Amino acid sequence: MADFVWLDQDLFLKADVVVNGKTVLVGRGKAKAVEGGEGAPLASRHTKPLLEVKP
Amino acid sequence: MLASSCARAAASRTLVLLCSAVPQSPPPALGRRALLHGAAAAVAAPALTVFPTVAAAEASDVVVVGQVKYDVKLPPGATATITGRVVGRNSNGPLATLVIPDLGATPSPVDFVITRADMREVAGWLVRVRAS
Repeated sequence: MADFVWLDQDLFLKADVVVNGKTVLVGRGKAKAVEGGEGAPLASRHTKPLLEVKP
Repeated sequence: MLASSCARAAASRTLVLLCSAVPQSPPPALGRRALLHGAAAAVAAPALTVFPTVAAAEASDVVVVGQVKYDVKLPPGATATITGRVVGRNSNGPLATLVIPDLGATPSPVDFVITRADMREVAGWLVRVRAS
């Protein structure tokens, strides 16, 4: 089964902004799993902004 | 790498994605059918959700919270499609998809929340303990 996520796995996120069927911007980010497991406050989360500009 | 990205951002239009994964308890002991019903119900919910407080987010089934930032003027009708994949594993396509309609109508940054219901097929199948 491919449809699962381990709690300690990081996620890659990609955002495509589309206007009239054409992709004008693409952004990527990495969602780090929160340390501390269940109940860890969101304030302790990691953020790692990445950036990609599509011409 | 981040510094170089920021340098490029200053020179051109930018779209920045800030996000974090939020650990969740395993899904309740529901059958596959019940989980799929949950996903279908989420389709009717607003695609863009902003949690006013951290406590509210922690009490929900949030998988990822994040922001989309942009510094260009987007025309009406611009939509943002956010897809998520697991790092280091071929999931045969995105595991989660969230669409933010009319992104340009909302001032940057735009907050977004991906919940279990936004995940593909089996809604929010997160596993707490990795088998050795």
